[in-house]
Amino acid sequence: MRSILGIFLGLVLFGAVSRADDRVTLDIPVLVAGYGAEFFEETAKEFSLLRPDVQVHLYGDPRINDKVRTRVMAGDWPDATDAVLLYPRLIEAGRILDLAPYLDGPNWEGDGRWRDTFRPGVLDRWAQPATNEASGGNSAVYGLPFAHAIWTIFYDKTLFRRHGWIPPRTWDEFFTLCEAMERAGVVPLSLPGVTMRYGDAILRAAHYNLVGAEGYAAYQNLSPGARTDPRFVRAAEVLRRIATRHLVRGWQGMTHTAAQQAFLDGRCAMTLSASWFANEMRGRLPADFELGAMNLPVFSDGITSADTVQSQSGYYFVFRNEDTKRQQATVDFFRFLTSRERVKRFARMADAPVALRAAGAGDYSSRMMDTAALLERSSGAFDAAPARTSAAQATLAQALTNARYELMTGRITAEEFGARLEAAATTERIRLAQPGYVENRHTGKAIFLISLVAGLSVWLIWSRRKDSVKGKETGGREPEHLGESTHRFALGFVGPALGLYAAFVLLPGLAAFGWALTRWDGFGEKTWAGLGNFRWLLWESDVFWTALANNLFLMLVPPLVVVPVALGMAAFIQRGGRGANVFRVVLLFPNLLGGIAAALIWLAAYEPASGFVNAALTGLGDCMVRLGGPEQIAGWLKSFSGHAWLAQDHLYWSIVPIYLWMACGFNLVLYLAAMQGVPTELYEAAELDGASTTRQFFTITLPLIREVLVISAVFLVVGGLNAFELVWLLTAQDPAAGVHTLGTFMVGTLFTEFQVGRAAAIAVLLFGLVLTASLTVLRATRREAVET
Amino acid sequence: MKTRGRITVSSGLLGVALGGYLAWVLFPMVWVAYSSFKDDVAIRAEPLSPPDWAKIDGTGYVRAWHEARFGDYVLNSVLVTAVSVALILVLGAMAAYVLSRFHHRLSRLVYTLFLAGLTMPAQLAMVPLFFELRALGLLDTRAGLILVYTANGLPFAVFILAGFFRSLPRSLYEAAIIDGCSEAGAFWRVMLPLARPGLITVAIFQFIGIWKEYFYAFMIVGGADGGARTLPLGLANLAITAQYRGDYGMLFAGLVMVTLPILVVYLLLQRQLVSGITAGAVKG
Repeated sequence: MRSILGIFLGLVLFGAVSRADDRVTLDIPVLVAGYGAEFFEETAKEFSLLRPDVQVHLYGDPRINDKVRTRVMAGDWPDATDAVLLYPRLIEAGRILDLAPYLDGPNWEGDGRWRDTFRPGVLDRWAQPATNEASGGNSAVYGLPFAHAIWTIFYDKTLFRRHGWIPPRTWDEFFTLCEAMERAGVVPLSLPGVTMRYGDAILRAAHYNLVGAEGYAAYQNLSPGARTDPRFVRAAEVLRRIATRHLVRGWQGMTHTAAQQAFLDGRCAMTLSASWFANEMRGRLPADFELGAMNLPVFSDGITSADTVQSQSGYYFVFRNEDTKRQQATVDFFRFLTSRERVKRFARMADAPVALRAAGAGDYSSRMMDTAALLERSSGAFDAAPARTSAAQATLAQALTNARYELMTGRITAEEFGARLEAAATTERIRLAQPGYVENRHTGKAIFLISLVAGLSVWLIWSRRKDSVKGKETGGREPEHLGESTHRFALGFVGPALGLYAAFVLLPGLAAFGWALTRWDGFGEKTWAGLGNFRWLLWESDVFWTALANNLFLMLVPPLVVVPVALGMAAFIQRGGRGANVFRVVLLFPNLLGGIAAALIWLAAYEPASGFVNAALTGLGDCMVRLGGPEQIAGWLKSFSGHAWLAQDHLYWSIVPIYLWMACGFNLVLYLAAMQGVPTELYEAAELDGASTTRQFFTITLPLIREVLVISAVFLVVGGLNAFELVWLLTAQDPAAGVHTLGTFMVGTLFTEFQVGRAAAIAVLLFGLVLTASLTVLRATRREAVET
Repeated sequence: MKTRGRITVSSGLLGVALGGYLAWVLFPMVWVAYSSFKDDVAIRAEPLSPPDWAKIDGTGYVRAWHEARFGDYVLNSVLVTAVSVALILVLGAMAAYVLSRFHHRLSRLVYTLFLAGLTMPAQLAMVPLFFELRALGLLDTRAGLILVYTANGLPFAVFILAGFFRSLPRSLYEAAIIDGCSEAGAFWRVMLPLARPGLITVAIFQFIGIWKEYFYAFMIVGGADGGARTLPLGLANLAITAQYRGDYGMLFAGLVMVTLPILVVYLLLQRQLVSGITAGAVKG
């Protein structure tokens, strides 16, 4: 053990060795979303052709954030990226290159200043007053914008023309229009409910329009009272009114593509999205579909121009590097990326606006004409992405996710929404001054949980001692003799497995546990937090407790379904019933798919309008009506038309069938393997005694496979506690507080909030709970074995 | 055993229930399989209807093959999965044998350590692991991925196999020793073959788990020029792209292509499982 630890530490101290090479290889991981990676890979290839001394290693992935974050935490910095990191802190720590000197230099073509090739204002988002370096009074620029999406309301022009509707300019006109649409039997709007954060675009637009740039900045900087301000409440009321009254049926169960599809299928007149819409829906827009885009409305007493657009740009950041040649090459790559030819190419490929002047109306398809016009006309833009100036604001993002969910489902009023966010902001303000601050909200529950775990641990230790005493008295299970040679043999047999396991599972895990006692944002200095993270989780965090409750649900409910079903199947197959072999093969199919695939299948299956679940249920209802079945049941079945299965308030019940679908085969094979070990003579004897097969099952099979039943129970309990992937994927990676599990909570805390200490503390608690729970199950069943 | 199959009303009902259940398990996959031959418009408009055989749309397969780069990744997947499963079986069986049959002060502790491994938070432990692999020069290599998969598969193997070894009668072991086998000989020649059903169970699950594993593969071999990428990375890319484009035809085609090889392997191993049953019966 100690030697393994030594090797491990040695390796850690040894660190990475970088190799020198004539050819510079740039390492640029990029986030791939709606626009795809193709354009960027093509750009990297072309750049390498133009500059043979530079090899651009650019790779995109939809989950690149997790990877870059891990690399940064391990001290392995890329050359540049657009992955979501805690940039304000990185800038503060001097890790990000100030691009201002380069921007004042020539552009790629060499016929102008680089800075002037960008659209006005887009460089301000990551501009900061110059810090230490002499930069001629100019402010430093850290982020380089490229794709430049605009939030708009897309509408069906043909439909509008037919009814004589015109795009509204104010919110009052907007709501009048919605009511007119409803009178005409048209559903006004679709919005994704699985990704509710799309709704923020409405909130932001309305809020910005009322408070202006300064008020909006104050809001983002956690100013006291910004969230209880009547103007913020008014903006929230707009979102609430739209969400509770004017959305298409089943919106809560729609992903963003499903919501957009509902619009294209003519199930509503408008949809809210950003400029990536046309690219995402490419090939699915009917040829004769006239796509219109309008700016989000304003208030008649709003203080900003009605032409102000809400933009959401992708920004690239270049990391500072001692190697100037390398750094220059990285900057050159971005100069090439923003060259006229490349910009036009992107605008055409993605059919989406770019933050550079080179792209104009002529580069977009006819579907983007309205967006292009909005951009031409715009008197200014404000950026939709929240300014993450501190870790506190990342935490606030979770508070927003929770409150937004309740607002949009009509559970709370706009005033309550504001009050909740204000309360969260207040707590974070206090914590900024006093990092160890914890609000006592769950004292009773915290003490109960701690005493429960402590009690179980004591019982585990005590009962084990009792067992070993008992074992000595009665002889117990006779231990094998461990002579000198056997000893060596045993060590030789366990050694390789244990070594490998310790090196690649146990020690990395334990190393991470150490962070639970610190406050750490992943790259800066760790500060000692003592038990502060645990105190925060157990005493203050609401999410921790709801997540734990959800885990309990997943620990108890699915196993109660899965175990009996799997056991029944196994018994059936064991008895060689008709088609037993087919069962054995088929039931394991879902296991073969993997979490991502399974989640995607069920997302498609549960889709309110085009999924097969609702189609099958309503079809069954129709059948019943035709055959004259009971009307109540038929009516109930037909009510599933457009039902939002994945809406967050009953997400977990919709997960149970998926769970059964995925887990049943696994347990079935386990049970079957165990049943094969039961001697056939026992059944034959029972048969002679006239015992029925049911009786045989309960008196022979069950007791003899108990060991495996226990193992499978442990696996299911552990699985319930560890549940992560399914919930994560079914909630578009942004679960509201009510649907978090400890696993998603940990990953969210780690990768979205950058609170490494807290994430580690969650992991430690999870680990402790799983260990206690599984040992208790094992111990409890073993005692039974001794007693019977 | 088959001769005992007496057909009664209750077992008839059971059969119907099981049949219904079977249909429910099977349907989503059948749905995926036949929908992969429909174009997008047809998938959305008529989710349930079978494809129109007159105008089968197989272009989803072409798009999926291209998008997910299956051709490049399939060999890596085969290699990584095969070596990892083999290592897990050998090392896991050795450890499980000793832990289940020899009592020692530390054996329980070691067993518990393996149990604890099932709950190590992969995302968090990834940071030190990444550090370690980089220091060892194992990043973006198949070897690195194999070592991590093996280490992660061992707890499951130890659990299952320990149960099997515990159930084997002591007399067999004693007989082997009396016949002049060494400890290791008794294990390799007598005990291990008897644990065959358990080995097959472990092999099937590890094969499935590793074949479709995404997170470690993404972190360890996900680099662009890393020629060590595995199929799930391609599939994940495909899945997300399909989701953004709403291209279900391509997604379904990709799912079929990734799942089919596992199905074949599983069906082959299934035969082995049946022979394992016979071995178990002889033992009993």
